[in-house]
Amino acid sequence: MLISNHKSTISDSLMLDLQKYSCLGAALRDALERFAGETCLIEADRDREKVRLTYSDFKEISMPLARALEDAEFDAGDRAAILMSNQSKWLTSAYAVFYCGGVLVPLDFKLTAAEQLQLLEHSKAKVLVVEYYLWRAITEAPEFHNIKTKLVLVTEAPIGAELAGGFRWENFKRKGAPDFVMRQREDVACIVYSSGTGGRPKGCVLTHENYLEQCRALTAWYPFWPGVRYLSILPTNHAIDFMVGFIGPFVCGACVVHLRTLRPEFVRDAFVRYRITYVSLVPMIVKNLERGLRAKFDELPGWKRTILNRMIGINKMLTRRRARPKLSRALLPQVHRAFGGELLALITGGAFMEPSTMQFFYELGVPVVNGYGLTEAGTALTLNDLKPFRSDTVGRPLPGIELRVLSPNEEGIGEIAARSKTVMSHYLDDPELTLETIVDGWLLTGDLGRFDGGGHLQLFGRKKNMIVTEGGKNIYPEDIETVFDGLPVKEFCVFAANFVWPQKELGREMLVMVLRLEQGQRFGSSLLQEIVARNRRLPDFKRLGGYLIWEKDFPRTASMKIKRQMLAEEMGKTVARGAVVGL
Amino acid sequence: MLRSDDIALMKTAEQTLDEILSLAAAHFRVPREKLNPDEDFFKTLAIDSLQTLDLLTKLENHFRVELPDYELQGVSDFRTLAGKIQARL
Repeated sequence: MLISNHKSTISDSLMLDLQKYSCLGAALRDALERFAGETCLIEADRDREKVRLTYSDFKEISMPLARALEDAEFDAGDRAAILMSNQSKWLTSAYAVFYCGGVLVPLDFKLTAAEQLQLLEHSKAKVLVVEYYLWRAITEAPEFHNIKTKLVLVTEAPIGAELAGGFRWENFKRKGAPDFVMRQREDVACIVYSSGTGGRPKGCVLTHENYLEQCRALTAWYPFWPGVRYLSILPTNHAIDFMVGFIGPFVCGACVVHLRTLRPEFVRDAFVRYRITYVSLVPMIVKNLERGLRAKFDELPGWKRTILNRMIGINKMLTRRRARPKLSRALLPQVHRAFGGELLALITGGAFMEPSTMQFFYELGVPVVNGYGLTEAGTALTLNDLKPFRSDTVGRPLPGIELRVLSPNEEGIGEIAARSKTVMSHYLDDPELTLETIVDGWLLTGDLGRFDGGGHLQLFGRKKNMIVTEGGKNIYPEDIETVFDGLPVKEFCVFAANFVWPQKELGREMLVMVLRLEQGQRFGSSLLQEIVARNRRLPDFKRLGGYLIWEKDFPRTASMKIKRQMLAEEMGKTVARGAVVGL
Repeated sequence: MLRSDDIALMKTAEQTLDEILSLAAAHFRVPREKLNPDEDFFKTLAIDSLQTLDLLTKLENHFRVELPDYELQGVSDFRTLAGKIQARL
């Protein structure tokens, strides 16, 4: 353990030795036995605690479900999708699926019903476990009549609710012990969609080995142990939370706290109420916490503010070489009380994080551990080890992970490639894309970076046409173009602005629509209104930031596909980024 | 059968919307007239979804209703938000 060697000893003695396991189901099964009396899950809605389970309770709940799945002829290798916000039933259902030897398909509950149906069909999921409000939206979607999923289990449906052929999750259980189905390391554990709702779903096929090795790598640096409470806020369908909000804590006997709201006041309250040890957050939430703290500091009378600043200065000086949580808590007790008094680190990744925000928290004695990864590579490739704290990098490669910078320029910047046992097997049903992405065993990440003298990775932008929002969502321009289908122009396409006008930094990301008007057509207010109206149909994080009128026909392939790379290069050379009109 | 007191206590959709706009203006410290019920508040106020959730908590306390987070998914104008709250009054 990097933060405390004492905890490392405790953890090493209790954590499962994952090298000995061939699949997640077996590791979880042993964890439920080993840590039977420990609390594994707490579920709270606002300030109300709804569920508290020990590992033993968890087993009691999931076994009848596994048995019912077995009776429903859910066999080894069959796929089960989960479509739920963070809650205990997500994890108990996932365990039941693994117990039966099934493949899990975690779907994003924030997608539209049509998008969820599209991914459900692409994954060929035989079973769907879904929250009632999401199921209701799915059944109302026009595409619902095409659904092929045979068994739908609906959680938390009100009494008397029409379930459109679904079964109540709460009643879907059978008596008797189910047979455990062992899987091998190379067998598929999960299919996780990294994007592609716009027409080419990118289903990352991840094996049991990918997860077991990722878990080993992460816990080698940041282990859990009984008594650790991990606050699970990122969606569990996301690769990070699936690993550090489920598999990681469970194989170490730790506790996961689910909060069924993202309201900042209840998030803050949960830190204190459950004395949280670790939490993974997207930049949007970290910034929200920073804003709240800064506002409180600003309200302090002058003399208190002076003392606070002095204490921050002392803490900064004493933690320059390494984090010292106990010392920081003693120096800044009120700040740490606001975080529950036991927080060891805020973990971030998946989106660009302002160095100044990370520095702000570190100076208060709350280390922000920044990392870098992508779904295709399991969870994380690099992580900061706090030896010492760095806000300007995404850390060093985790144990067992090899990284290379391909074709570096004179500044050493090039595309990052990764090779490790955590890299996915392939994209589901897309051998062409797999061949383009995994070359000679190396995963081409599409991200640009370089290593500094200390072996830390620094990111400098993207080679690929996509953005990552502050909320940690990967948005591919092609995925949102369908909303603008039929727009009364000659042609249009959407780009990530940084793809067209490369920046030597991350951040300032936005989507730009490029419009080619018909001959003689003028860009009038009705067209603008149409674009604005359609833009608002998209979730706020997927919306266009601006548009640009292009005076030439788009270059196209023989099959009439837009040559996006060529168009982007030409635009980048001939038009300034400042020409983009904001929407 | 509603009593006259109940009717007096019931808010019309327009009243609810008006109160939301006033509360939002105070919460985000912007002039009330800057807020248009049908405009995209993410854009007008330059806020993110968490700041919207913060406002929602204030609105819940004011109207004494409770809305789960998912009710707000896809909502980006005050009129739609008012409709969601009105439905629970």
